[in-house]
Amino acid sequence: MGSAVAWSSIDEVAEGLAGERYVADRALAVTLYLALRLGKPLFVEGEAGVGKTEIAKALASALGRRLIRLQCYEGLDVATAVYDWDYPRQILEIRLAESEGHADAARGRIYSERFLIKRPLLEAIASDGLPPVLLIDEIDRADEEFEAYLLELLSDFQVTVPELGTFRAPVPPPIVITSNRTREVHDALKRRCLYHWIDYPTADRELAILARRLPDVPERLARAVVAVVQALRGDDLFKRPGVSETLDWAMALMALGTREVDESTLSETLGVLLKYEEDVTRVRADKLPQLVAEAARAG
Amino acid sequence: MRADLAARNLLVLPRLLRRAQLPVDAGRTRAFLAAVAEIDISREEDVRAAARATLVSHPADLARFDETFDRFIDVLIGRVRRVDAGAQPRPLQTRGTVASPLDVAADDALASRRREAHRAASPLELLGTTDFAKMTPAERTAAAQFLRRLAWSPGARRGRRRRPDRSGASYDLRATLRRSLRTLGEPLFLQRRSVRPKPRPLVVICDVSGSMEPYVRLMLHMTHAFTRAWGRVEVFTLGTRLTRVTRRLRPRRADAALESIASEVSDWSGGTRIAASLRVFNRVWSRRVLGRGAIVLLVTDGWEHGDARALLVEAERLQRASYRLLWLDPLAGTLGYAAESAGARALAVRTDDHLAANTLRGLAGIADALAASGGRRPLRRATAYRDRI
Repeated sequence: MGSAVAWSSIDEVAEGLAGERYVADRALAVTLYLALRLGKPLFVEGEAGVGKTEIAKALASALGRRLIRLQCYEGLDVATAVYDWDYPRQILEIRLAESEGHADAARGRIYSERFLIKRPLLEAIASDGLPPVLLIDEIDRADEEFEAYLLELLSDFQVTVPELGTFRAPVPPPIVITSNRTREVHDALKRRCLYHWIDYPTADRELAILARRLPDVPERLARAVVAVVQALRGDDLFKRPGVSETLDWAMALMALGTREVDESTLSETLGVLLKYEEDVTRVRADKLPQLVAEAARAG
Repeated sequence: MRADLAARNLLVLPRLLRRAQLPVDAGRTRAFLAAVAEIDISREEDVRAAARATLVSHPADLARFDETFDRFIDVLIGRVRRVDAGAQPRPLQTRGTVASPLDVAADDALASRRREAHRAASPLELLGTTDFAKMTPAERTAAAQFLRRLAWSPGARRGRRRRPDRSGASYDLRATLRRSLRTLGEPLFLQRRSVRPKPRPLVVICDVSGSMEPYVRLMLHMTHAFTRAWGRVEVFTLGTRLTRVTRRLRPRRADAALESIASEVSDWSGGTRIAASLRVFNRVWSRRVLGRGAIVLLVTDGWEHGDARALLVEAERLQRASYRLLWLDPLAGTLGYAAESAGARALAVRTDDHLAANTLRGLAGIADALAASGGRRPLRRATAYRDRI
């Protein structure tokens, strides 16, 4: 099963993502390449803010495809995720059939594709031309019922509408599923996918990401930013800062016109990096000098 | 290399992984072979990534996977690795080296006070107010059986899904339209739906330190009953460290489950570091098991060997993350008891209910408290306390 993707080697995948300003390590490039070649969904887990959702975005624009995103939440049902019927128009159609004198034929007429509203999943399956990239974001927020529904979609790339029939994707669309692990996703779902765990990046990779994403940040400042964030991650915090916090903080420092990390700027902008009051208090109380020293050493 | 020989060599890896207790089945193995066919197998790094993506799907398994993969490559290319003495796996703890309160034999001291337990009468009548610490082994068995039969009904919350219901509050357009086709397109019969309640997840954190010894076995019996009746229950033990024992409680027979826990938990009857253990729970587990309005049962006597102020902080965080935090305290039921130790005082402020858990009657009361925790959030005790001062 191929998915009609232009990339023919792992290096090309890495280059393609790099072209979209996404710095992927080798393992991710291999996994993504395999997902595309084998026509299997990619299941990405990792802490918040390490760039899980970004993979799908970068993939879509690198492939020149549309991105269809389904944000999961508890109670997500078929009517919002897959398809719904256009009830007002169906009722009008019944009236019309009635006025034409064959109300009994209405049944066949109202359950046709004309009255079907396609929601993200059906749209991804039943789209003409090149299949779009489907992002199923934060699957752990959905409930078990929805997970079970996804099984058919993920193994056969088909959706069944009872009144109408089965839609089948001619070419399986690239699918990326992300999870924050607020609960364990069922094994049955995971084993239909290729699995990738994204860890916090090393200092070198984080520097590369920063350079790629925010080329305006001077290198010295970038080094200082990465050094501080890496030191914070080693600390015993309730919530450690992710890559997106690193980028936010670098942008915040740029906006303030800061070129150097000192104690007062760090203290004032700590809320960009840490999102829990107890973490902020802790770091402010006794970690500031140490962090600034780290920044100075790296910068 | 001939293709079938290569395949046979590659198949060694899934076997090694299975031996390392990773759940690798035929489907995963097939996916692995398909993946390897797509890449250049002379690059060890790529083969590793392909194997990881297809054979593993749990972050906890990644370290064991990497270890096994290294061994696999060594075998494949005939590399000899110096075995680091420090890296030797810790010998498995044999049963008997740690005094586990789950062994019935430990009850000898109490057997002298043996009373006749009448099986025919209800244990609640006979033993309802007897402190667990004063029961004979036979009485404990009867109490455990009683606990197993007690109907633990889960508290429910409003679900997000709806079900057909004739007297429901909202309309089901799809069903109404479908029904109207039988009346020539006239929607004569409105179909309704109502919200489907969902059981709340339950998390049990049970203290297994020395001071809890007379109670631990029955508490775990109760937890086992929860697990059987309720399904979505996460269980942790707390002593000098935190251990997750959820999977150990799966066996149907309570005794088998308890035995399995005894072999896993290594800090029986030691000291208690409640704050430190709760801290680990808050950092590592709370985001994963406390979603969806979970109820937390903290089973402990509040004897904290560590810092009581730290306990206050961690208990507060735990309370904020849970829908309701119930403190089951075996000491609370004893006569003349007041929460006086620093740890107990901290817990008294930072838990929503302080329930006696030293008698069967007390435990039956807990079942009621659980069933009563309905859809609406009750007033926090901590809030009530703050308002008073």
